[in-house]
Amino acid sequence: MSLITQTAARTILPAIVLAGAAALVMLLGQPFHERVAYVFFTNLIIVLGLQVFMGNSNVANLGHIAFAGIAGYAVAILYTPVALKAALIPGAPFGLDNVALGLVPAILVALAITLLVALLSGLALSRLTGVAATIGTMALLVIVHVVLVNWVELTRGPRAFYGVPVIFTLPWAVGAAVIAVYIAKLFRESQDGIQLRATGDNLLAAKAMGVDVERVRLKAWILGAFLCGTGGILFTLFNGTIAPNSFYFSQTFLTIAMLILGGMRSVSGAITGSIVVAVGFEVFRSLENGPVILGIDLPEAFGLTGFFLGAVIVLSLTFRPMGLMGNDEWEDVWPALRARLAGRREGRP
Amino acid sequence: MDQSAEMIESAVDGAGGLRTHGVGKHFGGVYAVRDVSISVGDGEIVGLIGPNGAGKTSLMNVISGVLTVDEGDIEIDGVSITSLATADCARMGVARTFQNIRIFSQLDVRQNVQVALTTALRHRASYARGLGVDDFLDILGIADVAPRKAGTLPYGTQRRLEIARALALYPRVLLLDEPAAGMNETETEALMETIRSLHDRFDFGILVIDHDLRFIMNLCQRIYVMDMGAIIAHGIPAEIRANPKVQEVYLGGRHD
Repeated sequence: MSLITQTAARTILPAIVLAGAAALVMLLGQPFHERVAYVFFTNLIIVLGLQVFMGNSNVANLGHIAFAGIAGYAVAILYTPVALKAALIPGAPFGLDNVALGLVPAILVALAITLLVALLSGLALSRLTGVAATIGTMALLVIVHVVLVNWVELTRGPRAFYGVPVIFTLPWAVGAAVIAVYIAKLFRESQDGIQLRATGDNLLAAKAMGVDVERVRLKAWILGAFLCGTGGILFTLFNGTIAPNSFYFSQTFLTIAMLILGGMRSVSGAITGSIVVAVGFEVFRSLENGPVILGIDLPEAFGLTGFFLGAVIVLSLTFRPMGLMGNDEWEDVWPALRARLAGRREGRP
Repeated sequence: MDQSAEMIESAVDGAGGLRTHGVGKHFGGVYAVRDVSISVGDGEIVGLIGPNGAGKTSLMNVISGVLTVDEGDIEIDGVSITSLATADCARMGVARTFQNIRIFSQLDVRQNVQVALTTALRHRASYARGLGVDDFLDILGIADVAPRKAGTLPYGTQRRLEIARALALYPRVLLLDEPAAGMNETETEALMETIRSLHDRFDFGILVIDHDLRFIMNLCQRIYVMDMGAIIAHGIPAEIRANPKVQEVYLGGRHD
């Protein structure tokens, strides 16, 4: 079986799980639940984008949300009708207040801009290793945020950019997420993906095997940016309103917590972590408002969700640094378990 | 130096392989490698011995681009690789293993070899001879562990995997840094057979560092002896055994 069909087969299980969850929400849930589910899928796509670079290269990345922001703002500015833009961003640079693209061209241009920024930043960042690389990625996040906040003529600055047409519904997000899972899995098992994982495992040995470290890192960086940008676009064209803070530290920590809890080394880890953290996040969000549970009126506790994310990161790094899935995909778990059990029966360690 | 080794060396002269000319490497004022000129011709198995700290591994690091060269020149088939980075040295045909094992422990055994084979197919296509990942595992006798995660393998198997991985580069010279370290006598014997079979099967040269003198003497056609960063003797095994300088720095009472 070629890698392409093999990866398609390995995507069936996550596709069933994701589509099944979405179908349940659409059948049984209220509109509010559908909304939560939609945002979950955009987050999942962003986490997959993060996994492609960080999980395979083992270089911590705190800048991936910058690409969601760039793509989200780009599509908002390009796709919002001219009449609305006259009120929102009159006299925008490059005459952007006078033009509006169609949906597909707007998305394509937004992705192109994202990929260009990814290429330029990647050329610099792929040369860095360890702490320097991580700080570099965070600097990218800050730079993009500062531009979004201060280029008032283009983005409305810190105020919300509203009125973006709402295009997508839950099935779109599910479809995009399944494709993103497929892409992430395909990269992980590709020759570049295996070489990149080798650099994350033992950098010197990878170089001694002729791996072009910068090149494989750059490829993953750009592919990850593509997925994160896609997530940002899907979010923007569902939410209708974005602000610079939609794409900043809280979003960064949410997605990092998802990846770390699930296990960044596998695509299944990204999916698992996204599901667990999303459910936990919603539970803590409901607790924030001080609900009445079993007749006990709980006090309001704002900030509980942030506490939850911090706790998830600290606890998983402490007790399960490889994440819930470790190095395994879902389909690897059963054979690995069986092999271990068989080994135990034969008295092997 | 000894006549017979010189004769072997001159016989392989021009036939390609690895050649260093007056190579030096110093850290501050201390020379780790000093004025080293060695050659490893096609199809040769050459030993490199010397006491701890003699500079053997430093020399290997310099040849493979892990350390930069301060003085002298290094050539593969007459082409200088002196200033190349590690990955570029690998693409020029320098393959190596490491004294402290450096397999990709999170990848499975096949993927470990795949990493090198990908490089070979992309950058050394003219040397590639159509062997697949499993062929390299077969050559090292580790095909039965192919699907396992490399980090879970026993020590000796990990050493074999490192060699399989290096082979997949289709190298011009293979540098083995203490391949038998930590192996028992049976394993060492088997490894020696495997290395000899490489010699029969491929045409690249092999440079072996090891502390096990019996291993080196039985395996190698020529041997260089290093001390204090410099080559102090060179010859066929019988000459090295008889060389008083070698006995003084290396064999004299402290070993065997």
